[in-house]
Amino acid sequence: MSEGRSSHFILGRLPLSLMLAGVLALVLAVALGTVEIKRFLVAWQGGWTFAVSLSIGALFVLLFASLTGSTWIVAVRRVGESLSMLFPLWAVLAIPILLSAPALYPWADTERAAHDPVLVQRLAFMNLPFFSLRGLAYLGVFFGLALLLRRSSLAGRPTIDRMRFLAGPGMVAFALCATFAAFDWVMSLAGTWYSTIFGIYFFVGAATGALGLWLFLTALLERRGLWGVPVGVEHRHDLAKYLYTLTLFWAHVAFLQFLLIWYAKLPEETFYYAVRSRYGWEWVTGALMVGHLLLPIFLFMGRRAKRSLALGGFFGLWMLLMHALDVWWMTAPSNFPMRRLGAVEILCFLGFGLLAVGGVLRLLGRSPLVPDQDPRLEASLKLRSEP
Amino acid sequence: MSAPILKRLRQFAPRSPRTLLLAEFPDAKALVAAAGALRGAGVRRFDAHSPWPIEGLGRAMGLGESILPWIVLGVGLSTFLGFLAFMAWASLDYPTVHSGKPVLSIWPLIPAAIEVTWMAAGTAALVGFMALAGLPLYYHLAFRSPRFKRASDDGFFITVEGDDPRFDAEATRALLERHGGRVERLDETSAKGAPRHG
Repeated sequence: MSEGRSSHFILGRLPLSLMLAGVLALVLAVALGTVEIKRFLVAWQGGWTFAVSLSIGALFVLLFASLTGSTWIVAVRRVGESLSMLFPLWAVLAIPILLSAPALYPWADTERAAHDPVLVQRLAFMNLPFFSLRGLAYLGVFFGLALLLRRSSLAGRPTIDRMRFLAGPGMVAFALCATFAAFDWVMSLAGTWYSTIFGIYFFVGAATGALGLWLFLTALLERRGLWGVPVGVEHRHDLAKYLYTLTLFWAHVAFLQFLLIWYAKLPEETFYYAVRSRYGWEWVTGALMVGHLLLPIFLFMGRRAKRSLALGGFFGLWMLLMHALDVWWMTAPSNFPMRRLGAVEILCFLGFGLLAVGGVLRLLGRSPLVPDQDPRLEASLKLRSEP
Repeated sequence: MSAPILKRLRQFAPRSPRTLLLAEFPDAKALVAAAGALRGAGVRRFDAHSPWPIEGLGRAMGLGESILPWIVLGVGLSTFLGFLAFMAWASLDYPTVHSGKPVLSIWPLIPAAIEVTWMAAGTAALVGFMALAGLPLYYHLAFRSPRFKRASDDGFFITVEGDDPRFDAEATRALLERHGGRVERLDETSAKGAPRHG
């Protein structure tokens, strides 16, 4: 049965084609980017942040599931596991960002930072060698946790309890790394701007995107009949409920971050939103409000929408796209107060997105689709939430 | 002074049926089968009682989907919009300027509107559930049977209400007995059994 499965197009030839298409898109972006190198770099950094955030989001969901001993997620956990195993790929693709940091990050431009009364105070922390070292450490911790979870999932019974014990400290390490990574990689793009809730905003948004992809792929595999075991509406329903909750939580955090800055009205904080409410960015901000909150809130409130194969899968794909928009909104305006959207931006986000989807499908085809060594699998497959 | 109001309210209060067929079943499976058969026979006013939730019982009874979510959504949405409108009116009717903020802006209104929406929707969920479930009901004819106490322990019961105009005592009794039910007929003259608690 497993041979028949891995020879199926979606898990066999498609992943490699998707990854090749991703590489092609990125190469095209490089070629187009030679015209205006900074524009390309901003787009690349955005695309990279989108991709790495998907892996971070998947890791968050997996750690949380381990911590709470969730049974429902066991049957579909391989999708998120595969997503969280892509950190090495993202580490390699971060090299262009490190090499061109002075063009992207205000603090990395030492000439400029030396004349900025705020940035100059921060140079002891925000300097390229320490930044690179920290980045490596974050990715190391993320990948280490992902690897531990993966090994435990492959080995089964003896390691499940140990993993549950490790998930506690693991979650603490994860939250610290995700917060500081959000500060380093994304928030510091905006120079002196700060928001203490930014780390949570980043990784809740990341979990939304990751779970969106998770739900979409779960639905896709079900549509093609590839699971081979009774994974179906109940698991999708739970994933959709989780995604719906995270969407609400994202909106909660996003709104609170805005409201506090709006109330305090401190110039060193408000410029972040001032930039994002003019010169074309106001449309992106509005699109996020509608597409990342209002639309999904009403469309996917009911259980019938969440349990439908087509609508549920669409919910996942939609939240993945909205997360890409959110990442673009977080990153690009800091360098380009005038909105710019063209082939370079689209190719970079598309390229990184295709790499992520292709990578997940490729890893899915390489191990059993469900963790057959996990003693909780049977209970997970029997999941019912209908009265 | 409050007595007439209470008396008037009481006519809306849910009431116990006046005659009742009470059937006890040996297990959950028989209960579900009997509920399905009752529904198939066209009986509408009946209820099932079991110590724990039983999968498929709701479907067998033909309960369908509850309209409660729509009640909660309607109350929640109208509260949200209504409260926003109220706060906008208050801001404009008595305009104040705080630290250079505009007299009317939607952002500071949202947290308060959301809080009130949660409370209203939560209340709607509770009150709506009670109304749909026919609560509060302090007394039910089934309490007259001493056996019925076991509905919260190890007994599986179906009660068919005699108030239904199409209620046919003999045919329904025969149907319940066919499915393994031990049937007894209860009315206001039946001996009091259960109301001893503890």
